Amino acid sequence: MSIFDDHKKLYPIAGLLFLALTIIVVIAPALNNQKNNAPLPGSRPLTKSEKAGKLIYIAEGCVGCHSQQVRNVEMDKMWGSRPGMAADYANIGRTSILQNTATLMGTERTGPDLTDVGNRQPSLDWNLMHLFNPRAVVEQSIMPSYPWLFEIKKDPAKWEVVVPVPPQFLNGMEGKVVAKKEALDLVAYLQSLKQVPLPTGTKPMEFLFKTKKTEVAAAGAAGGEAKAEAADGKALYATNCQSCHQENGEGLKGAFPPLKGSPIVMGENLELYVDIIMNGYDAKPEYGVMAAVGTNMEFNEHQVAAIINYERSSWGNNGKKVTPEEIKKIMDFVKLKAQQ
Amino acid sequence: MVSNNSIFSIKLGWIALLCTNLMIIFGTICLMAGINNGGGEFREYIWPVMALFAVALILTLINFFMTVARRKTKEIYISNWYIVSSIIFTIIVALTAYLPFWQDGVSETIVQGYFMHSGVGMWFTLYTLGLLYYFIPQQLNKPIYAYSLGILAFWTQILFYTIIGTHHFIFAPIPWWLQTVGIVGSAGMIIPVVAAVLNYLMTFRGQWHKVTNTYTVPFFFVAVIYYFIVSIQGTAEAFKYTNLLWHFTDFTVAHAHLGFYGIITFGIWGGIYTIVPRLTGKEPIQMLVGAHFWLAFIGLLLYTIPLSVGATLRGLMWMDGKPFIDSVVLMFDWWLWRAIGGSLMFLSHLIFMYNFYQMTCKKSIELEEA
Repeated sequence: MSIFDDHKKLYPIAGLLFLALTIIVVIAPALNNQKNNAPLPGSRPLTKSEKAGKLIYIAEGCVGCHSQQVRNVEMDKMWGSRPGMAADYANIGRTSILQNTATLMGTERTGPDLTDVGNRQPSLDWNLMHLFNPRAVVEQSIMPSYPWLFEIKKDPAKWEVVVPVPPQFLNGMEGKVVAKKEALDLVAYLQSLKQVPLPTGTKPMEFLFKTKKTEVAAAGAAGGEAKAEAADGKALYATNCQSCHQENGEGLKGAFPPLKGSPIVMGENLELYVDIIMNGYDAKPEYGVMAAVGTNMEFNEHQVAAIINYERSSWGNNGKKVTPEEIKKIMDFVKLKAQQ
Repeated sequence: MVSNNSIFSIKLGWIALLCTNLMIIFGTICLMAGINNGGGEFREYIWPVMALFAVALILTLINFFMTVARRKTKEIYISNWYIVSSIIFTIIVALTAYLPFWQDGVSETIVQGYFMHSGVGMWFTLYTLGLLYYFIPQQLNKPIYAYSLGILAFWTQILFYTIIGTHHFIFAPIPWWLQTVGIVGSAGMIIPVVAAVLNYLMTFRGQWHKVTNTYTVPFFFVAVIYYFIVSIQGTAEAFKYTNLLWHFTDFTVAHAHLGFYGIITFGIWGGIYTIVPRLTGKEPIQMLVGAHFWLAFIGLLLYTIPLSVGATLRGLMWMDGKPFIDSVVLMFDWWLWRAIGGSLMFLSHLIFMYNFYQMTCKKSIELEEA
């Protein structure tokens, strides 16, 4: 073929073909997306502190292990209440003169997805302890520690944020762990990561590849029967509760209360118990604030009942079992109460 | 070069080499100082660092193009279609990835998929395929099996490889039609891959004894085999179900290592062991070349196979909705195997360093014996 004998033909033709394909599958769709894209009405730009935190997130390379995208497949439901959409990323522009846009979607989940971590783990204490040394709160974690975001001080000033790190994680250092501005900024950014609710009336995209379990549950709910498979209390506890209250149910001194032998877990006041799971708790000054885990994660009565039953029957606890039916009534009640 | 002529300008080559190495040095310093481009895989260097690379690419293009233009043969040999085109395409890829006009919001993601894929496919793979089209016939001392298969592989490679970047973001919020194009293109990749591998392997026919009785050919042979395995694996990874199973897991890490290390690095090692002794007249110690080969080869297998198995189990766990931390604990043993494999690979690099020293700096062996 003559084209392969003529460098003045071969290379320009190959180059133009490649350029044309590039324009069709990259440049044109990218420009088109920019033209037809706007952030959701409920979203807001990052504050100064959150922006500074995002720069630390970028500099530390967090995106190497943490994604920020909820795909429209059932298995990603644990990372957000709806699939992500282009609008979720619409107000992310160029980072700086030197740095490109950072959507931070990522391609690897060595650690959990962080799209909605602001809802999932809103506790400041937990986040700071976790950054100082992840093993302090999650025993099996392989995440690196970020001690340079903290200082050790003998006498921290009143306005400084002291982190209740258990002494065995201080490596023999004397004093208290104080969060530097960088740590607070980074946590501020992490807490800003929340899925923005869709405007009322807009239906979210559906999750694809539903598992049989959820189909059965959906069918059961539609038929008004409570036939859904019993939720797995241990797994729910591990996913939603364990990072603070720990696998052994003993919590962490000065940060998260124990559930082992807890009067609330073992007691008669089921309403308070359900209320805490659904709407959070901040009654004890010696412990951190608990977030509205149940509401954030959209627990149903089966899941709440499974968690309660697990907590009442583990670590030597021996409490009365509950049924989803009685939990349902209390959930409706505490929901009303929370809205008042 | 295979144009029966010498390279256009050695000086331009040196400048390009200097620029590329400066890019690596400055880029590494920047990354360690926390200055990166914002989180895109392979797109970590900021643009002032990449500008050095752009200079190197343009100088190399001039150098290669002029060499081909001054060739003394009628036709342009296959290697030179691949190698010169690879430089042209890489310039287009780098410009598309670094110009700021189409990077806001998920547009960044669309560009990112294209960049990380074309960076591998248009720069590394195309270039290495060109090298293999030169080295394999040269080392086996016979012409390449079929010119026409080369033509087919070349054009279909450009057509399919360019359009499949979005398969890194299946189910992400980018247009569905783009994701579909990515999946279809990934299936299409079977054509250039089978054509090229067939071409290489048929060239081997009748010369199989050279795999065992030379120390260069095994490297090329491994590169060809991995090119086949990794490309077919890549096609398999692009489908929707496999994305549920493998996306976000270390399966992609294993895949990337099989590709970069198995194809590119092995191919280049073979090239170095072929050319450097001819330039210097000094040969490495054969047994140490063997040690280098086997440590790298076994190391790569130990690195990638356990990682793929572990990642598959992890994907199944995620699909089953198991607690995330359980899937971290699951990986511990598999990660240990990766560390063992990686250490063997590292060891092989030290041996390679010594071999390279033997081929270049050391006084020739005859002198020492005398």
